[in-house]
Amino acid sequence: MVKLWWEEARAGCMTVTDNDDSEPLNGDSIAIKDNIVTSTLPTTAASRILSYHTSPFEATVVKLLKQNGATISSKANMDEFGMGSHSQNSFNGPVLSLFKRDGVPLSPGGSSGGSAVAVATGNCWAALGTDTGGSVRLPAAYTGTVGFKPSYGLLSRWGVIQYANSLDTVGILAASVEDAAAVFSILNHYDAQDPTSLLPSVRGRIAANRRTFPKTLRIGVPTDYNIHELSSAVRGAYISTLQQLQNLGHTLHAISLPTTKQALSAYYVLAPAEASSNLAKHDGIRYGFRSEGPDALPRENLPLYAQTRGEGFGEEVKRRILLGAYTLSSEAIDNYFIQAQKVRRLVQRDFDRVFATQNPLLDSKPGGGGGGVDVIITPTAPTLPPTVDEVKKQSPVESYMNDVFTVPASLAGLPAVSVPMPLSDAIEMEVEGGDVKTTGIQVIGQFGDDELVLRAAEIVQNL
Amino acid sequence: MHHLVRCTGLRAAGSLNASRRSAEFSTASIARSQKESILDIEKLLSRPTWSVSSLLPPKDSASDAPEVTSKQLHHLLRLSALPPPKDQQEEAKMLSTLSSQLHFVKEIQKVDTAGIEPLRSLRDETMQGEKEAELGMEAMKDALAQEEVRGKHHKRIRRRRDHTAAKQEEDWDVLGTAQRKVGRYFVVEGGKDK
Repeated sequence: MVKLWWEEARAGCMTVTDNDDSEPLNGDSIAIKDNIVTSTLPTTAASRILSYHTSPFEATVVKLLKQNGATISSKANMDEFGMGSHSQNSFNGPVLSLFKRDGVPLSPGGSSGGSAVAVATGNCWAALGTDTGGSVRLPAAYTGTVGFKPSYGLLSRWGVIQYANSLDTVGILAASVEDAAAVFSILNHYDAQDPTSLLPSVRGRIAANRRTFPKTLRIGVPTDYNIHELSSAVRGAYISTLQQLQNLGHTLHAISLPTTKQALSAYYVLAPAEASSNLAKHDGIRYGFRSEGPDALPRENLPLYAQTRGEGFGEEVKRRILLGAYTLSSEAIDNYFIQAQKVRRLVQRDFDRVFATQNPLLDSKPGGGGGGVDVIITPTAPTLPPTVDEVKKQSPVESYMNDVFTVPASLAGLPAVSVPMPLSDAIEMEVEGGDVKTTGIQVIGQFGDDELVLRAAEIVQNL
Repeated sequence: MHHLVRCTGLRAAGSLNASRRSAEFSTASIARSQKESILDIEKLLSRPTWSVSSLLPPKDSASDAPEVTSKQLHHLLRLSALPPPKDQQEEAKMLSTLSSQLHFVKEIQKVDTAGIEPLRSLRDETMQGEKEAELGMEAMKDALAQEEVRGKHHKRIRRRRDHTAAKQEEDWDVLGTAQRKVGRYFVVEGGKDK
């Protein structure tokens, strides 16, 4: 039976150090989100439909960690197939944050909530998560950890159970930017087994375009991220971060990313549509959970595999599959799915217009010219984490709003990292002992500018 | 990334700050104040520009999202290989959820996207990238070398099996994770018709 992180928390950290001291990770324990396959521990993506499933092979990212001396400590709980923002939609039971408000546990964020809590409690040195629309950055913001989503295609997805494959990215959770960067440099390799892995030619182009790290950063402040729902605690920490950066000599530039509002809607068309296709393979025939009795019951109006899928998938997964089936259906595909892909292009153009660096995936820069910014800095989430009781009261679409600041970078495939930032003194006095005392600040860079983003995040971390 | 010093342990809120500031930034700070004006960030962020809850369907009045009929819902569930609703109540709930989801996403329809090329996936779209992605004779060379022509009267092309690939496939027990099997076969049981 799989040892999940909360069992590990009781048993203490499992760090068998039979590794050579010269290896970069030297026995460091790393938790793996349960949608990344491991051949020695079961991989369920927190779904009943994969309950007790153990993969016959290992994900490339896991293989690379082991080769570099890491110890895989446990599989981390999550939202089923990555579908959720609070890690409450899991067949294994909800993930609880280490923080509380009035005695009620807070949301750890999702979907990589288990990975974030494992790092925040010191139960492992670092953890792998996956980020489709913010699933590494949001839990990092809610648990006071660092969460890094690299550029799409840099880290191999071979052995990562798909949710929405045009957006899915392996991400890293760690206690510091330096630790996240160390794990990233070990995993950042081309993998021929992943057809979406960035080819050596693109990696070469990115390396050739790399500029020397500027002494002072040009920082973009998108006015479109200043929404009504931004809480005073988060706004205060955000303003303070920007002011401190300005005091250090970095320059701030108001920018506009006008497609931000439609980005969230586009994401909730694209991700469920891809999910409805990607999850079609889970039918219980070749692996995973299978209902008792025949696979179809025509008398009860149950088509082939419907009973297995009905019992095997959780409610949010079924809701998204159904939405995806609709937006891909012949009468809706043009107005929803294709339109969302066009909006996705506009989101990419928004970013290309403001960044100083050329997008290495494209030939020409629209508009462009001088005066672009090096990085964009935003809050990671609009509010501090809600309690798990508050999450229960939310409707499915209300919880979608949480992803408003993380989804645009996912649509454009950009590197983005969430760094914990202390709340201002006044706010901190109001919050009680067990509550969170940090919020997440997000640093976003141009496609391929992962190193620049990490170095800028390091500056934010050290404020 | 050798410049990054590895350290562990959660950063204590608000500590370690001033000491870590590097000297280069304090000199840069003086240089900047002379040539570039400072952005009044509090003023810039004093007024929110929009509300994300504007994407939610109105609580009291009916949503103007497209109507999905009961018949359509049953068709979509069948396409998704998911069971139909147990009763009227469950069906009403499914329809209402779908309607609020569609309200949430219909914001994209307000955007003029005439002439915009859809972004289908993040891949190399440069001229060089498109050229590399083309399958020419060069890329096919190895595969074509595996082909041989069999037969005299009825000539046909046969592919020789690649032994390294075949070996990997043989090492993998394809049926190993199946719950039900008969001999070398997976089992799909169709159930009896009406």
